[in-house]
Amino acid sequence: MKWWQRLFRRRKQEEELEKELRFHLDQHTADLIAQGLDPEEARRRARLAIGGPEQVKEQCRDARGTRWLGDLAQDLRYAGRMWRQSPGFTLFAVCGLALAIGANTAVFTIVNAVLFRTPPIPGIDRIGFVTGIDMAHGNEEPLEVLSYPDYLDFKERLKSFEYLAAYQYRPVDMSDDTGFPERYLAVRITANTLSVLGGKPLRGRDLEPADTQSGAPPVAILSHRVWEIRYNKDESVIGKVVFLDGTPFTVIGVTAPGMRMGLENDLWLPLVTPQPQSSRENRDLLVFGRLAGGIGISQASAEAVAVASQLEVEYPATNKNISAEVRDFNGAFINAQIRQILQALWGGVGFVILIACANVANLLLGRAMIRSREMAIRAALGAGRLRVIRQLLTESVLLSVMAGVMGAFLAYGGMRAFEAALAATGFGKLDWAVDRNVLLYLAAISIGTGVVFGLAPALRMSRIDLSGALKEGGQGAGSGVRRRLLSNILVGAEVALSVVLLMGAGLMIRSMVYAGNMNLGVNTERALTMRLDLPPSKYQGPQQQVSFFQELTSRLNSLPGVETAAIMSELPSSGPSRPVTSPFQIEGSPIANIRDRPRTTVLTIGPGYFRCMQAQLLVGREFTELDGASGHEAAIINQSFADRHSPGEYPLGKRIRVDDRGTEAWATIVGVAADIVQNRYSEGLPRVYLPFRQNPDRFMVVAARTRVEPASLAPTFRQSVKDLDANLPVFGLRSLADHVSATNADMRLFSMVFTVLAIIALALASMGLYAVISQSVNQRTREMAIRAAMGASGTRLWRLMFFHGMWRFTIGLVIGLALSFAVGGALRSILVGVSPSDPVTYLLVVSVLTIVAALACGLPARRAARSDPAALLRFE
Amino acid sequence: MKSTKSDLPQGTLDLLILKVVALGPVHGYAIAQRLDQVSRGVVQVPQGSLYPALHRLENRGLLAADWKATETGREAKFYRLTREGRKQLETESQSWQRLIEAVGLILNLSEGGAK
Repeated sequence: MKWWQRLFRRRKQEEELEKELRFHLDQHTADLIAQGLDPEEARRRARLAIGGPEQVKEQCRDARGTRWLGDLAQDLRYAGRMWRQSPGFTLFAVCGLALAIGANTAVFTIVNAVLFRTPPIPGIDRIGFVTGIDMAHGNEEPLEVLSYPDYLDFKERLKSFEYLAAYQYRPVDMSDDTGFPERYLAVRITANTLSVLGGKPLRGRDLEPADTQSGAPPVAILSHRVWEIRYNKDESVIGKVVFLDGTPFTVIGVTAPGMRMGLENDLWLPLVTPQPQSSRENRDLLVFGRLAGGIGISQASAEAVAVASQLEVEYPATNKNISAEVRDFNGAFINAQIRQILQALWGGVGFVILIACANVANLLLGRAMIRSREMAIRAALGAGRLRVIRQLLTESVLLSVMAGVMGAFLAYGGMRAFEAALAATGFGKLDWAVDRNVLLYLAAISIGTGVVFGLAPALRMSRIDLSGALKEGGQGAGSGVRRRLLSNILVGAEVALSVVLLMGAGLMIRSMVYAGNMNLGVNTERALTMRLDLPPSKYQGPQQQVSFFQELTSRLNSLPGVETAAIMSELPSSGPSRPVTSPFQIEGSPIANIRDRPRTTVLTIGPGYFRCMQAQLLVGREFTELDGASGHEAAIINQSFADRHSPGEYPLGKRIRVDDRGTEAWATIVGVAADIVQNRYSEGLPRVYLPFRQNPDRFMVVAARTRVEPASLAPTFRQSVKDLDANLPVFGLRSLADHVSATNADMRLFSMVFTVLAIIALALASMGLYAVISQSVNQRTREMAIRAAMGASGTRLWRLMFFHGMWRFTIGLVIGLALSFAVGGALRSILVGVSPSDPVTYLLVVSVLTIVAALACGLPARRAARSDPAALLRFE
Repeated sequence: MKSTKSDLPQGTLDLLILKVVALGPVHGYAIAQRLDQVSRGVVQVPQGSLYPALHRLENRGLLAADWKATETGREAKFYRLTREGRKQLETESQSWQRLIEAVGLILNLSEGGAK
């Protein structure tokens, strides 16, 4: 019989065992009767001779190899019965664990999607990226790129790679007869690379060496996404001619879905080689290849370093301090900061699950008292200590697996919510999936937590003073001082952690509310915006740029749905987090040294900007079409500029000159505008507005105040641009309100994550407090009854238990507040309009926590107060 | 009663069972009786540990079992030796023999040396 057969014939085997032993007993009895004993006595003797029949059976079962499997089924049955018997406890424990497991799984799904998932390219784990490292700047900001001559040298000398390819990213404007022109991200890549890497095109052919020769007819491969979205998976797209930056290209193929090299690109174009004139200083190629058989990343990396140092010696002028490193796919494309943030988040939820474990361990320890009699009976019936521990561990693992199942649903829901939040906050899409990694992780933490929180209570419960436990009727496995200390520390740590998380969440939410309600100084309702990047080939000079935008705004202004249209170099609520400033001089007090000149932020705007933005002009006027023309140089300053640089003076008519911005002529101040918040980091900074004609640019934003719902005008705007230039793509076409909301996306996302973590922590901490107080009430029922019998009033008993819990909470609170000061400091850089030690947040957090803690302590304490001494003592 | 019988040394029960079963297919009660008779009451064979031992040996493939009718007509589980069981019996009896000789040698030696 095979072991699995034995498993399934368990019942039959039990019957046989029973039959075999009965036969033995009967025979023995019969023999004894034959010897002259009376039947009663004979039966007794036979039983005595064999020992306890149940124990013999138990030992026989042990002797079988499949014992553990049979036991497992039995343990599971007991465990199921166990948890059914105390549904309240079970629900309580499972919910807490499910919360923690769910949060963990969700975070791991994100971590997995970002850090571990790779594009579906066969053999991607054998692909190495040769990354340039600028030793002068250290590893923190890798150079990444190599020059073409360096690439050739690496290709020739590196033996660790079977094949070494090079590519570069280029944004291109694509237009054809199908739709509006679009700005796409193209990858220029060496010939046959896709095929060699196993990413053979889905349709058509790969780029061949002939395609990469200079002068070859230009060809392009479409990404699957573009084929799907722009061409609706039209098979006839192969052979079609499209215009890229105005040049005709023939489409020769479509890549398989998901094929990408790092960033998600839309097109694949040939990288023209050889490039005889390319210098070693011109580093613009990313280099990667398939590792040769048996070579690992670290070996390849060592070889790359060696080649790089040869190049340093051979070409010291260009390659000094340039080293190299080989990375795997995700190593090459995931930036260190994101990695750190995700790892921190992962660590954070790891801590959450430890707290959940501590909670349940605490609860189980409390149950040790209730169950000590059961354990004693088990031991008396012949269960070994190991057997008891196994039974208890099965119970806890069953608990955690139930929580795991529930947690899986929570995690899935959480991921859907996170996805929605990403879309809503404008962060784009996360390519996540419930893959093998996620399932393994879920299984591991579901089972692992059960073992972690179950082990200590199991060890404790299985150590039983048999006679004591049976005699005392349940008080045996009482609470040691050490256990109480342990549970106090656990509760204190839980409270402290939730204080920190709530503080973080509170500060982030306050910042978000502040940023959301921040008066930008413009009206964000009913305004449509779009961005344009004029190709330099067609719009070389300032004159072409000015006339293009003049023509476009006048066309937009003539649309019936448009009130006013205007151009600007940047929309309100955008721009870098560290403001860019330029030095300037005020006429009459010139400062010779450019370094000593005061600095200001600068914005280039067209006529009608303030009317379009519905922003307030305090004094003076807007720019007109004439402003900025030679001899009509003009400027508008904001309130902060006026306050800082010409306080108490009448600014109009004064002249200023901003360095490096358009003309060298002095510009006359024609107006003072109320401050517009250009972004949340540059509130209150001085600003100079210059007319577009005076400081033209290829890259501008067009905004229009509309009479109708802004989105309804989007196709009209696209058409207006296409009418002017059929090859010019429009991007960032969205309402001003959407734009503002998208720029605050990071803050919303941060505060959401913080809030969710804080709520989980708060829930777990209050559960922990509640459970601990509840249990000490249970453990002290006898004491309470005696106190009540001695005349203590209910209020007095309530107070006793209530403050018993509250002082633990208070210690955790104080530690948590101290930690919050440190964490708040770390958040300083992303907080807006709120100090890290914001008293309102502190007050709010402390009161919320105190209320929750008071409830968690007060409810079980009420039970103590209502204890009826007579009933309790009788029960004992 | 207890003082006249000694406990069975560890691991010897298996050897004794194998030896008894080697004589022909036999059920558990008969093995117990045979052990009792053969050892003439000198060795205490705890009947309680007989069955776990039988099951263990069966599980290891040293014994095989069939249900057959006894002479009284009742069905009983008859154990018999497998080929591995026979091999095991041989090697174990040899090593047991060697052990006895060695122990005897040592006991004689110490008796002579101590006085």
